Amino acid sequence: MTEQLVGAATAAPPADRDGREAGARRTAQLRRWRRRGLLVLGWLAMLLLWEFGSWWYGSRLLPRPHEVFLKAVEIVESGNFVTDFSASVLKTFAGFAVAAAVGAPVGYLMGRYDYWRAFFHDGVTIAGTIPAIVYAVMSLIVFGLSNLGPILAVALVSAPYIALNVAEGIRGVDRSLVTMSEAFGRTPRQIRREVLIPTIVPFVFAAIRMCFAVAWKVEALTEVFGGRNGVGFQIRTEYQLYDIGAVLAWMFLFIAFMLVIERLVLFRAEARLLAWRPEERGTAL
Amino acid sequence: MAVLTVKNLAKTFNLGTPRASRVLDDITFEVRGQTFVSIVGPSGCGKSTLLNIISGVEEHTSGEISLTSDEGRPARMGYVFQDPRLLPWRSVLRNMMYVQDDQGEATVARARRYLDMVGLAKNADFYPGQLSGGMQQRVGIARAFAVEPDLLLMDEPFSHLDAITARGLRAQLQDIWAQSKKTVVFVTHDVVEAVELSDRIIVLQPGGRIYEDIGIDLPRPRRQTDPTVATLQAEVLARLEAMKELGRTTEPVA
Amino acid sequence: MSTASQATVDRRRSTSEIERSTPAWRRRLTSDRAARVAALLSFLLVWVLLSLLFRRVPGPVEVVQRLGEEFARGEVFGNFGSTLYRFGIGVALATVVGIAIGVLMGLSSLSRAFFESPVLVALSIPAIIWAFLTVMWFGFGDLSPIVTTFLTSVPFVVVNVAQGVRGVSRDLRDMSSTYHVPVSRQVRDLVLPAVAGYIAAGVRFAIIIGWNGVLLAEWFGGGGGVGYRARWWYDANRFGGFAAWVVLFVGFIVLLDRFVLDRAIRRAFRWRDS
Ligand SMILES: Nc1ncnc2c1ncn2[C@@H]1O[C@H](COP(=O)(O)OP(=O)(O)O)[C@@H](O)[C@H]1O
Ligand SMILES: [Mg+2]
Repeated sequence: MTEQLVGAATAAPPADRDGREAGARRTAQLRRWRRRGLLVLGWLAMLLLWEFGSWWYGSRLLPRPHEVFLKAVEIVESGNFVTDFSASVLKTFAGFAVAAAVGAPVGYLMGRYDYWRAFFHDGVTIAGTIPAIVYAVMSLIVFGLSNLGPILAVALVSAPYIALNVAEGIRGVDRSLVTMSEAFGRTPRQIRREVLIPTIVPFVFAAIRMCFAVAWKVEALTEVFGGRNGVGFQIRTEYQLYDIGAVLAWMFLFIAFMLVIERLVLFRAEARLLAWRPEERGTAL
Repeated sequence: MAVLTVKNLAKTFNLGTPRASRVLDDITFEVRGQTFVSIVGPSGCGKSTLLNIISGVEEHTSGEISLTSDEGRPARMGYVFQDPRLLPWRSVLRNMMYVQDDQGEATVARARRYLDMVGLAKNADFYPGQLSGGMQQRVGIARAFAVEPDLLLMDEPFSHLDAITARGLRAQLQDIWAQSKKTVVFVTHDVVEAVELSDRIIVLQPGGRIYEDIGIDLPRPRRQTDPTVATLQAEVLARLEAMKELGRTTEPVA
Repeated sequence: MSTASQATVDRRRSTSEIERSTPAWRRRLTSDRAARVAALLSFLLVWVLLSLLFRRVPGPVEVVQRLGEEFARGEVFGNFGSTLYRFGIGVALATVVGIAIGVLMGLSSLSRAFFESPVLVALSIPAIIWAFLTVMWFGFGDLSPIVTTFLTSVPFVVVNVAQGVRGVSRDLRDMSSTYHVPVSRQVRDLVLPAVAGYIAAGVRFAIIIGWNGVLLAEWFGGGGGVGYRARWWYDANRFGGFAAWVVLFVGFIVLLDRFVLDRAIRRAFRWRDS
């Protein structure tokens, strides 16, 4: 009966609703176009600034945008970027894996037990404030010129973030769910698997997303200091040849590539793992 | 024989700190098998705390508490909370299986049967986020019955729901209880609800002592429209008014 | 457990029983202070083990010695001073510019559309590229580290401030305008308190990023400073000297973070955490 009442109320739209909405729709359209225009304007301003810089410093010290673009095309066409890119990406992910393997358990302990929180807290926050260059050089000192250097640097930079985020996630666990589990006599292991871990997954993803942006930069930085392959190695080589155009070309290619990887790999995995979240309800149904 | 025995139970929060507060004070009672007992009292008088202690989630400060099961195994408990407390990342059915020790086919079938009893057979594979509050609460009830508990604890399970939904669920609860005859300790602040559902009402007064223990001897099923039920409800309410007076006069002294 | 029936009885221990059964030494050993001491000891132990394991890793003793030498030579204060000077100017500039752009982006969706892509690009350009470019542009003076610090840290301030300004509750702003609260008081009592915490957090992040920028520019430049000095030891293959500078520098960062920034942030977010 109530449904009928509701239905009756909405079943009679005002006759000229379309007419009155047209104006509003036009305004919205206009606003959208203005936004898009400004977005383009932002890119144009950046290019203009760049062009101005090249004119000011001369194209040897700052190559012009189209020169860099041509360089990038050249690099892509020659095909030798594949080995360097894959080397850099592999090292980044390896470092990440190490960071997760160390950082996640530490974060778990920190979130779960007061003792371990007191134990790790200072060290982890300090480790998080140390500049990346320190980690890069430290890794080189430990491993010398080898692929292990960048991996260690990435791990050192990322592990504190992951630990802090996991700890934050665990502390944010819904106490009432833990109570419920205990009331039904679940074992600590079951509670860990069914309550704690699902709770921290979003936090881990937040950490990974945040880290990833930092991690590949550190990876490249370490290769600049002492790598034998990879994007950073190429950037250093070109810099030593004073070919700034190539330096920038390598950098932009790497940025683009990493953004694509972030979208493809991380977003997908996140969407799949977090399907239960209410925001995703529309797709789940 | 008694399923639950509580003797001289006391609970003080933040024991040994300046913020210490005594919530339960010298509680003694027994609950026999297959009865439906309500614990009634104004909010803040320690009802939830008492249930949490019985369920083992909370430690008591002193006194004794013991649970008995007839079958030579540790007593099993079910708990329906004020809020649904479902794992948001698990489907309805997996939420029900989460609290089961046995993961076999027979248990799944039993879970489905109780889900059917609360009218949610079709929603077994939904995530909790896809259900309304009332539906989630029904899952919570089905989950508690499905563990076949020796003792079923319920903490104001209907207080967050609108009146119409709550009335429907009370009727459902009576039906399920009539079929399964579990031992139930049901906490509520609503005397009317307590009279409708229970065999016995334990009244808790502010300060955490038992004020009165009232037996309710009415035929089942009980419906709110039944005049005898209404009469008894009025009578119990009147007795609780007296308790409020008592609280008012004793407060300054204590 | 009675033998008369088959019943099992599940009896629970009360708090007072448990309390009686935990000895005092155990409580002391699991206290927070004990944990912190244990952490420090384990850190030193790991360091010593690493220095024994990898010959290139300097041990604590060597690092302390080198630190003493560096002080004796009078290299510490001059280099530290010039790094702080460059860093301070860079971060101050980044804070001012970042707040300005961030407030703009937070208040108007049109300016957000305009600045969105530049900020995104600026966020993703590595500090090393800025260091390379600025060293080539400005040579070995103070300007290169200053500009590198500024350019690497400014986008982080912008992002944080913009987020903070956008988070100022629409409802509260509407409420203020229905009561005709003057704009100056709105800014003072509503926008600033709401955004202060985000500004502080953004500046803190900018500082962490900025250190990296200033060190990199000094490492590749030749104008002195902590980065320059650390590189000098590194190139001489005497990693003890490098580690000494790291200890000095990290110690300074930690003190700054703990006693200045942390307090400032806690003050700014006081309303939220209470
Ligand atoms: N963890 C706790 N720490 C301190 N006091 C508590 C805690 N839990 C409950 N209390 C206090 O105990 C009293 C009883 O709470 P509760 O059992 O939830 O009441 P009820 O369920 O009867 O409404 C309240 O005064 C409450 O403030
Ligand atoms: Mg309660």
